[in-house]
Order: sequence, then C-alpha cells, then structure tokens
Amino acid sequence: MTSAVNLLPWRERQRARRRQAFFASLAGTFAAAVALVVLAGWRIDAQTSRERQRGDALASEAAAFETRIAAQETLLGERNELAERAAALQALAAERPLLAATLDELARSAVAGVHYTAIVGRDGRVTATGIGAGNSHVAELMRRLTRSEWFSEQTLEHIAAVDAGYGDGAAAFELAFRTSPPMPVPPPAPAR
Amino acid sequence: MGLLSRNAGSLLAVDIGAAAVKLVQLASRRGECLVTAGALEPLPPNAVSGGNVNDPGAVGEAVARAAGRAGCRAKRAAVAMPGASVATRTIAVDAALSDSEIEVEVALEARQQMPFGDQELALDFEVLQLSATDPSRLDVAVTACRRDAVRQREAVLRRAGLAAALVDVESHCLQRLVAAQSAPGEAVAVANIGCNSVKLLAMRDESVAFAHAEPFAGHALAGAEGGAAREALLQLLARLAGMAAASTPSPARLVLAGGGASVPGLAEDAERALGLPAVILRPFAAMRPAANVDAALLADGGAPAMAIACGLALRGIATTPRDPLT
Repeated sequence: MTSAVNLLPWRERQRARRRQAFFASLAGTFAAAVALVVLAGWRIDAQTSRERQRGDALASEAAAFETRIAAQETLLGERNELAERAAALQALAAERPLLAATLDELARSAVAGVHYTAIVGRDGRVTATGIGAGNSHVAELMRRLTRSEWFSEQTLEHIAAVDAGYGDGAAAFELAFRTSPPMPVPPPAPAR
Repeated sequence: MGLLSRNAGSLLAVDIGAAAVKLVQLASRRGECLVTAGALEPLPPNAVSGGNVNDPGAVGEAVARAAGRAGCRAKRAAVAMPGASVATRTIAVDAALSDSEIEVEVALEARQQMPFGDQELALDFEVLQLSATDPSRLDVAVTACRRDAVRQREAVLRRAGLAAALVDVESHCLQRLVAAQSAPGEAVAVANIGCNSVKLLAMRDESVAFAHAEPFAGHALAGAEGGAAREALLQLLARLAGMAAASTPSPARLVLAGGGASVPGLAEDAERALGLPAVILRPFAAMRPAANVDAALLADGGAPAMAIACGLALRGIATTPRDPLT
C-alpha cells in the first residue's frame, strides 16, 4: 500500500528535469572548458608579449651599452694616442738637453793634459778618442766621467802609448759611455 | 532532495470538498509541526458534487479567496482525489524488466485491469517486492484515476494562480493524519462521515486492513431531522465496525472524521453504540499555529473537516525517500 501517491506525471517531469540538468551541466562543462582554453591562451600571450618586451628592453639596453663601449674605446684610443704623443714629446724634451749636457759634462770632466781628437755619438752611445799626457791623466778622466750623473757604462775601450811629438808617456785612448738623463722619465702606463 | 525538501514546506494543500474548499500549509521547525496557513471557504451548492468539479471557475475563485485570506504566497499546491474516483491494483510484472520498461508495462496492464474503460489514465505505481506466487515476477502497487478528473483539479488550481505539484488520494491523506496521531502499531478504525457517504477504515501504521463505504446523507445530521439521521448513522457505524472487527488486528479505538464528526455528542453516542473508545479527529492536535494564522482555526485541535487538507499538507513536510515531489 503506497501512501506517497502522486497522480501527476512526475516520472516524466523528473526525467525532463534530469535531461535538462544533464544538458545544462554539459553546456556548463563545455563553457568552462572553452573559458579555460581562452584564459590559458590569454595568459600565454601575455607571458609571451612580456618576455618579448623584456627581450626588446634588454636588446635596446645592450645596444646602448655597445654605443657607450664604442665611445669609450674611441676615447681610450684617443687617450692612448695622446699619451703616446705626450711620451714622445717628453722623450724629445728630455733628449734635447742631453747633447748640451754631454758636452757640458765632457767639458766639466776635462783633465789638463788630455785632449780629445774625436767624439762620436750614435744611438745614445758616445765614443771618444783622444790623447792624454800620461796614463794617470786618462785614469783621472775616466774617474771624472764615471762620476757624472749623465753618463753610464763608461768603458775604456783602448789605450796605447804614442809619441809623435806628444812627449814621453803620452797615450792615445778610446773610451765609450752611454748618455742618459740623470732621472729618466718613466714611460706612461699603458691603458687597458 | 536537500534543495527540494527545504522548499517542500511551501506546498499548499488544497482539499476540494463538496461543501467547502480547505487550505492548509505546514512547516517543520526544529522537529515541531507549524501551521503556516489555514483557511476554509464555503462553496456554492453543486459547484462540486460526487467528487466532480462542476464549476471550476467558482471553485478556483473560492481557492483564491481562501489563499488570500490565509495570506499564503505559495505557488505550488497539492490536491487530493476522492477515494471513489481512484482505483488501486497490485499488478505483477516481469522481474527482469528495467525501471522504464516497468513503467510501460504498468501503463499497459493498468489500461486493461483498471475499471476506467478507454479513458486516459493518470497513474502512479510503487514496486513492492517479488511476487509470493511467482518469484520471476514483481508485485507493483498501482493507483490510477481518470486523467480528466486530475485535469479538472489542475484547472481549479490554475484559476487560483497555483501550479499543481502533487495529486494525492483523499483516503491516503486521512490515513496519514490518523497514523501521525496514533502510537506505532496501534490498530485504529476511522469513520469518515462525509456529506454523502460514510466510510470506515481499519488501519495500522498507514496500512489498511479493511475499508468499506456506505451512502449516507451526512448533511442531514445538522438539519431538522438531525435526531433520526444520528440514529441511522450510529446503526451504520455499528454495522461497519462489526465488519471491521473481523479484520486482524481488530481496532482498539474509533476515530471520527469528516464534516459529520462535528455533530455535538456524537463521540459519546458512538462509544456507547460500538463499545469502543471513540474520539473526534483533531487534525491540528500537537501542532502550533504560526504568527499570522487565525488561532480560531486551530481551536480545540481544529475542525474534523480540515482533516484531509491537513493530512495532505503533511506531504509537504514529509521526508519520505520516495516522495514524488522530489
């Protein structure tokens, strides 16, 4: 005995409702799937464009750096060139008094009884030949030359007795030394 | 189900009787039954007769008036078919059939077995159990009536601005109410004294062991020949109770229901005549009225005339797993 009778066609209504619910959920699922795909697409697009923007920004920054590096390199080249020129000028400026100083020093170190017959300077090396009244005179000359701050590597290349009117004990000699300024200017440090 | 059962309280029960329409709406609040709407609206003579709605317009207006008076905003309504217009059968179908196949089979069988000829049927069924005689078949309880009779009542509700959500059977409503007011397992006899007939049921826990109706002019009880009608009624009840006593278990209590039960002193007379404790059915006993409900309607547990509407409204708060509402 049923006590929950409903003489309305409730089974049909229930079926219709279920069918409706099924299609509604189907449509809902489909819409959700579409929305998901669209959203994912948007997200990927957004990420791609952001990465592209970043790439572009980096590229433009890199280009800016490249220009700056190039400018710096030009500047550096110019600086080196200038430095080289300055060094050359400085060398020239240092060398200009050398000749005078050499002669000055030769004069200052001159010893009575010794005279030079020839002084040849080449490549900063001076070779002098002369005749001394005696060996001791030549030795005195060598000592004085050795004391000079402008000369270095003083060597007595050759010494031999001569007569030919110069008196007894006269000696022909040949000596050599290198000339250089007393405080050599240090060359400029090469730039990197 | 959860969504609908919360909503089910808004179901308005409409009992279309011969003399009046009765509206009841119930709600379940914290295990307590609350009457949220109730109204009784008299009908013009012959608007309804013999379970037929002759004048749907007048009845629809009466329902609308009653709903307006009760301040009811429900849009879904339940009605009940008179027991006389409904037939029930137990039909056996092949147990191997699927649910939808059972539906088709039951519809076909009902057409042949129900006493409605070629008329279109409105039917509902419940699969009971495997047949006792043939285990390859299923017993299905089928309830049916003419679809036209259902349409008549749907039309009445439509005129009152209501949609029919549930069509029950009047006797089931009465049984539901009596069962709700009886102890579990208690055997009860119910005498429904209507305008035109008296029906006696012997029932226990909503299952009916005996049912028999006899024609009786219930409206005469309140008239000039009330005394004679009363005597006739008591004799009829004694006769029906004698028939019911043969059913097992024999009833321990008589419940008087229907419009005729309101006649003063009838319960005492019936008790004497039948030798059974007799009470008048108080539909709203153990129920509380909501704030907006006319308290007079629920006075003394309500008039017996509201019984069917009340039993029908119980469907609105029932949580039976197989409730066709869901």
